[in-house]
This record gives sequence, C-alpha cells and structure tokens, in this order.
Amino acid sequence: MMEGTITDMKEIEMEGDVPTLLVLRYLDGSAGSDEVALLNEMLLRSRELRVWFLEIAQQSTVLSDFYRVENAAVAMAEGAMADIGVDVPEWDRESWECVSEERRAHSDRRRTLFVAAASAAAAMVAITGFILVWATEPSSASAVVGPLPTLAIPFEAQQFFDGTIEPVELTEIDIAEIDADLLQLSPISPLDEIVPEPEPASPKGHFLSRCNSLTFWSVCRLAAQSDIQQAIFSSALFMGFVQLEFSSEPFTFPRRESAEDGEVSEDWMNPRTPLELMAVSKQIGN
Amino acid sequence: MEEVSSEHLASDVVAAQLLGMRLELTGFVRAMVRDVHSADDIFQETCVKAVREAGTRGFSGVEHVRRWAFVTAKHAAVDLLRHRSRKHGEVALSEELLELLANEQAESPQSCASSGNALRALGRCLEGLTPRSRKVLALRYGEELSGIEVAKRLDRKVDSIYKSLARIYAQLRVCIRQRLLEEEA
Repeated sequence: MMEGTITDMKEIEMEGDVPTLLVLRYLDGSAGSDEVALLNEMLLRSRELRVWFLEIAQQSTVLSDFYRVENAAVAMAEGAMADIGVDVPEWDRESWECVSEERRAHSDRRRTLFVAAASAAAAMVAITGFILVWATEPSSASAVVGPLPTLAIPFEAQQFFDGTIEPVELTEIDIAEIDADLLQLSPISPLDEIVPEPEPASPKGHFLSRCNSLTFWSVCRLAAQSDIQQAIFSSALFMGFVQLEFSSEPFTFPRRESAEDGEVSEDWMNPRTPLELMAVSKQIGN
Repeated sequence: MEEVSSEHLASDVVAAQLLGMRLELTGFVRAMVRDVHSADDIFQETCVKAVREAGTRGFSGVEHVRRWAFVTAKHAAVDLLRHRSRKHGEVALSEELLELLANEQAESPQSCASSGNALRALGRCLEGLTPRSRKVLALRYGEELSGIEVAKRLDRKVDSIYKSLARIYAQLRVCIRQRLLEEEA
C-alpha cells in the first residue's frame, strides 16, 4: 500500500471509518487475527498512522484511568457510609441517581414525616414561647398579636392583648365574669341542639375561623392566670386541635357505644366544636 | 557495584520523572498488550528497574530516562506477548512494529495530553457529552467491557457502538486540547 493511500485512509478514519474501528476493536481485544495483521501492515507503512494509533491508545488509557479513579472514589464513599451504618442505595453511577423507586419513595416519605414533625415542633415552641412571654410581659405579646386583624378575638381578650387589663390583677371572680360574657357571646347549647358551623371555603379561612374560637381563648385565659403548666398543656391541646382541623378527616373523639341499645351516645367525650373542646380542656386542667 | 557519578540523576528524581510519565508509558504499553492491568504491571516493573538502574549505572539526564523507560517497557510487553502467543495462540502486532513504536514514542516530546491536567480537562469534557455517550464510555472504560459486550448490554449493534466510540474519541480529543490550551493561556 502506498504512503499516500494510507494518509487518505487516515483522513477517512477520522470520520469514524474503518481504521478507527479497527484500532478500537484491536484495543479491546475483539479484533480477529486477520484484522490484527491488517492493522500491523497499515501501521508499519505510515508513521503518521503510528502516531495517531499511539494517541488513541493513550486516550483509552486516560479514560480508563479516569473511570478507575472515579470508581475507587465511589467505592471508598460507599464503604465509609456502610461503616457508619448508612444504608447505601444502588446508584446509577452514570446519572448519579438512586435507581430504586421503592427506596426513593421511602426516602420521600421519611422526608415528609420529618418536615411535618419539625413544623409541628416549631409551632409548639412558638406558641408556648408566646404564652410564656404573655404571662410575664403582656405588652410585648400584644405587639406581636396586634398586627393580626383577622383574628377576631373576643373583646375581653383584646383587652388582655392591649395590656388594658393586667393578668396579675385578674381574680377568679373576674375570670368568672369573663366566662359569663363569653357565654353570652357564644352560648353553650345542649349538645343535641348544636348546629354544625358552615364550612369555610378555604383551609386558611377555616383556620382563622377556628382561631376565633373559645379554644384559643381558653389558652389565653390560663396563661393570664400565670399557671404555666396549664398554659403549656392548653397550647399543646390547641396545636393538636389546629392539626386536626387541617387534616382531611373530620375531627371526632372516639365514640362510645351504649351496651344496651348499641346507639352512639354523645357525651362530653364526643365534642364537635371548639367550645366543647374548651370544656374538655377545663376538666382535664382542673 | 558500579559507583554512580555525581552527574547522574538521583533515584528520587528518576522515580518522579517516571511517575510524571505514567499515563504516557501505560498508554504505550496498553497499545501493545491491549490490557490495562498488564500495562499497569509493566509500568510498575519498569519503575522498579529504573530506580535500581539509577543506583547502579545511573541516568545522564531526563531524555536518557525517557528513552530507557520506553525501551524497557517494550521489552516487558514483548515478553508478555510471546508468553500469550505460546499459551493461548494470541495474535499480536509484530515485534518489528513494536520496536518502531517504542522508538518513536521515546523521541516524541512528552505529551501534555498525558498529564494530570488532561485528566481534569477530560472530567469537564465528559460533562459535555450526551448521557448516551457517557453511558457507552462508562461501560467500556468504567467496567472494562469490550465493544461487543457494551453492545449486548445496551441492546445495540456492535458497529454502532464502535462508531459511537470513534465519534466520542474525536469529540474528547478536540475538547481536551482546547481546554489545555485555555489553561496554558
């Protein structure tokens, strides 16, 4: 074969033609004896092809080296994670994604639960902190609550927030009077006569309407008495109530069935309104 | 033992030079033996021999070390190929061609494409490839599969895999050169 012909072939092979494929097959051990003989012949005849051949071989080596380093790094990372007890998922190293859908779903569930738990804990801390501040510094608390106009807090409660009424000055009689006022605002009806409240259009509206309830007032009242334990208990109850309100399932306590007639009895353990919930908190608190 | 002249390179200097030539020397051996693990073994063997040589006869300079290393590695590769040929009947490139390749490689200036910079440039150039191309490379070089095995794994034709590899090589070659030139600038 003439030197010029070989050069032409090299130009062709740069476009992915026969000689390149031949070299690639030779380098990975797939080339047959005929192909090796052909390649040998070609390389003997052209220095340019020999340089190019060595370049391809070197490029293969660089690639192998690169992937070996990468594999070693991955193996080390996986080994380290396994050492500390982390469950190592099966990775698609090309895309660096976890290939197991089941593991991915499990991971999502755990993340959701974690976020929910963290949110609930943060809300608990915030509310408890607020109540504690209010118990000692009502004016500070009112500064926080003041900008919330949508919370239509009963008049007496508003006075607490404004600092017009000092919590320390409250007596049992005062509280009884406030209760009486509240009862006038939201008279407690016999349980069988309670008309269900119309459902607000949005969850936010629903929440705000519930905040306008006596449950929240109950918490405030207990805090005003500086009874910290009861305040914390009530705030926990309030948070639980808020969570239940946001859940898709309607809120009910477990119902007790009468052993005699099998009918469901609605006693104080089966409250359906915030008012009833307040009654429960009062009983448990006392 | 023959005393080494003070003008000769110290063993640690020789070892450092060989380590700097690692990819180049391994690539050269790989072109002959077609097996990356055997190429690694031969490189290590060459390093050990070079350090011994530095402590006995010695090397007059870096060019001496370079030429000596390629010739020594070629001898080791030829020994291995002869052994394979006897044992497995494996057909390899002729010894005449291997001699030519060793001499030409030793005479050529050290390629910047074999340096650590090239590896870093390669890492960045790989990011520019399509996921499909990266998959082919990962199977071929990450798992050391042959083109035929890669084709089976990806349920593609053998020819298309080799054509893909050829195309990827060309792309990477251009990309790495550009990156290295940019770094130099």
